[in-house]
Amino acid sequence: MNDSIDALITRTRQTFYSDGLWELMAGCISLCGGLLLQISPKGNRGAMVFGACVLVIFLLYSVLKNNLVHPRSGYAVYKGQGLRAHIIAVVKRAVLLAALTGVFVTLRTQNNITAQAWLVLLLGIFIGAGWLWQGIRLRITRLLLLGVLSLFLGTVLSPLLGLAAVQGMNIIDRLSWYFLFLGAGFLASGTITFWKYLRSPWQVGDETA
Amino acid sequence: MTKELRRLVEVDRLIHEPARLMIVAILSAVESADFLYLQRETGLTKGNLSSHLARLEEGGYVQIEKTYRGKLPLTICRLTRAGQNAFQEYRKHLKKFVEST
Repeated sequence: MNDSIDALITRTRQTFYSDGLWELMAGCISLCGGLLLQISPKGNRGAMVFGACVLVIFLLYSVLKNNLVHPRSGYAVYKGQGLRAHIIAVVKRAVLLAALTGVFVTLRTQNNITAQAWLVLLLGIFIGAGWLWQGIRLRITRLLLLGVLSLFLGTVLSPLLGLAAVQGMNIIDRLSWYFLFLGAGFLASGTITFWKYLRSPWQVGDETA
Repeated sequence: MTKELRRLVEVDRLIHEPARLMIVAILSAVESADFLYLQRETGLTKGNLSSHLARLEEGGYVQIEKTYRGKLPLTICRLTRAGQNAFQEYRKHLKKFVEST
């Protein structure tokens, strides 16, 4: 009985990812970041362009969620989306971001190309671990695969394997390719999930229940 | 009546009913959900879901808020503190009973 209740709770939590929109959004943001690093607009202009892209992607996400998902699946606020949870999450992320920025700046100022290249591995592990944890917690295979993809990209693009193809790359190129490939993975996963979601029948209550 | 059986009889009947148990379990996983979401997840009819929600609201386990999203009416349901505690207690109760048998 308790197992059935646990399964029901897990299934309810899974519905947050059932439409694939979150992955599509993450994929678009990752691709934007990767592309911007490739064309590398200098200084504040790059950050402004990235900020504008993120804003547009968020707006698109809200529009799709409100017009396509909520009328089909209903509306729910998941745990961690309330005001208090948001504040706690923002503080946690700010601390984490500060720590990561510290590591980034320290390695970047070392003027050592190998040390800088390890950043990609750190990023791959950090993002990959997050998705792996989420995949295990919610028992969603595609999130696990995205976590593995991040770990794989981080490892391949770091100097750990000593691959000839990535030896000559600078840190910006490595980061750019990491975000581009990761974004492509997210977009592929999100597109398939969203397509399946739209094709699934609307499950309105059974009148005989 | 054995101690174990007495324990089962003492279970919270408001939650123990399968449809209501489903509703409470779903609401325990989210902060709030609207009527359509609950209907989709539970597979209950509108009338059935409505009557179970009314029972849970009477018992003080669920808070129902009627509002609008644009021009569309929206019924938001959330588990109250009492509802959360009752659900946790119910699960503990059930676990103890299963372990003792």
